[in-house]
Amino acid sequence: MENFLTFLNSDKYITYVCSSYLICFFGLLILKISSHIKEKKVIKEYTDIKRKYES
Amino acid sequence: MNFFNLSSPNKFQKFSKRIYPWVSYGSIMFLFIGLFFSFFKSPPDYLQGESVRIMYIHVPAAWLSLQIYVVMAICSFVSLVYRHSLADIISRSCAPIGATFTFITLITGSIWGKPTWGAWWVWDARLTSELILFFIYIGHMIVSNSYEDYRKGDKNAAILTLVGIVNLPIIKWSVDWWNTLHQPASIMKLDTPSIDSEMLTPLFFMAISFFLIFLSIMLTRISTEIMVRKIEIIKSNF
Amino acid sequence: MKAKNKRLMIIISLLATFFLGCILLFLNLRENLIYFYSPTEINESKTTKTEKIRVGGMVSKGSVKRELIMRDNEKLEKINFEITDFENSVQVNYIGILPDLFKEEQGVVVEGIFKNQIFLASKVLAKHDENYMPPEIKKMQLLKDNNDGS
Repeated sequence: MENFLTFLNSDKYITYVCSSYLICFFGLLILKISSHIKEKKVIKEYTDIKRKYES
Repeated sequence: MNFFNLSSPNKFQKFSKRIYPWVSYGSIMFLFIGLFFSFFKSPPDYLQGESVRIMYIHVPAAWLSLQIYVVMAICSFVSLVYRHSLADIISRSCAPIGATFTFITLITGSIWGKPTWGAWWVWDARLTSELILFFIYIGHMIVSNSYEDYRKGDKNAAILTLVGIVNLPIIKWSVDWWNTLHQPASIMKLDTPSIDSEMLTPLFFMAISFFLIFLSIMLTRISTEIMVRKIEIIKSNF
Repeated sequence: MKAKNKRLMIIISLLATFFLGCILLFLNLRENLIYFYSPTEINESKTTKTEKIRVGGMVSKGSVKRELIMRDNEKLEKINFEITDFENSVQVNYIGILPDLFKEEQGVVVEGIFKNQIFLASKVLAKHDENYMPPEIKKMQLLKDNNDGS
């Protein structure tokens, strides 16, 4: 806790540290979400095409 | 179960469905542990002060950017020699993840460089070779998607990956071979690590978390890619 | 020979030739990829002294001298210091803002030109080493070193 408080009071470095963490997790989140969106789309396409050709 | 069965895409997909939740929740759990340690339980550096906390994401991302490339290079070799479809699929799924981690390495490194070195970017050997790695990942994504026939794209991308592996030892040992502004390795060396144990703990948890994040995204992308190929096969059969 | 083994041989031999070429190229280019020179290297080669170069080393203890000067109605800080690699040293002159990590007995890389044996820096970059530790432990280390020395 003490470490965190001194970190909050370091006005010089806090913007650098926070912006790097934010950019990092934002990038990972975008990759994760876009992978899931693509998966959903492909699953739908797959079930559609299977139904179409099997009937 | 027989481990070698995993080389069949169908078996792999079943296996991946089973381990996906564990990997996914594990990554989030370790991420929170890592964040807790990196902000609450680790001291500032004697020289760099609080900006040392950027290390806890910069270093794991940099490790992964190299590890993912190793995975891709092995897959490319297997794909060129043994024509294994799963190898192509893994390689294709890894490229965007590797590019993202390399991008994170470059950006966080840049943000770290400003308060410590006094410059956002310098053209020293370590930074330049890491930038080249980023371009190779982007090149892989472009090459593998730029052909009508995906098999042709896979083959050319595999050749690109094997050629680009020259860059890996350059990145790893650039700090020892040349005078660079970037500091030498602290952990991945023969000597004992030169990082205090209180700072090693958050780094360790963050590295596990990042690795699990990589695995979870890779599993999703692989199962997507397997289905894309199944669709292609169904289409070409009719 | 099976097609599979043939492909294996072709790929391995191609890669081997390619990597051999890369190693040769690399050994020749090695000199050009150095980011900075040490004061000793500067002393040995007198030729490159007119162009823009980078010199790196440790800031000598007690060598930093600061003075305020006026230029274009602006107060600027002029800093004199010495860079050393414990064999040779270079005198550096710099006008501007130093990075936070600039300290005596710390690594530094300066960019600029030589003029009358003095290095006129246009850019100063702080270099730090691979050691990370909390301030208390550094203090203890320094104390221990002092005790050992006396």
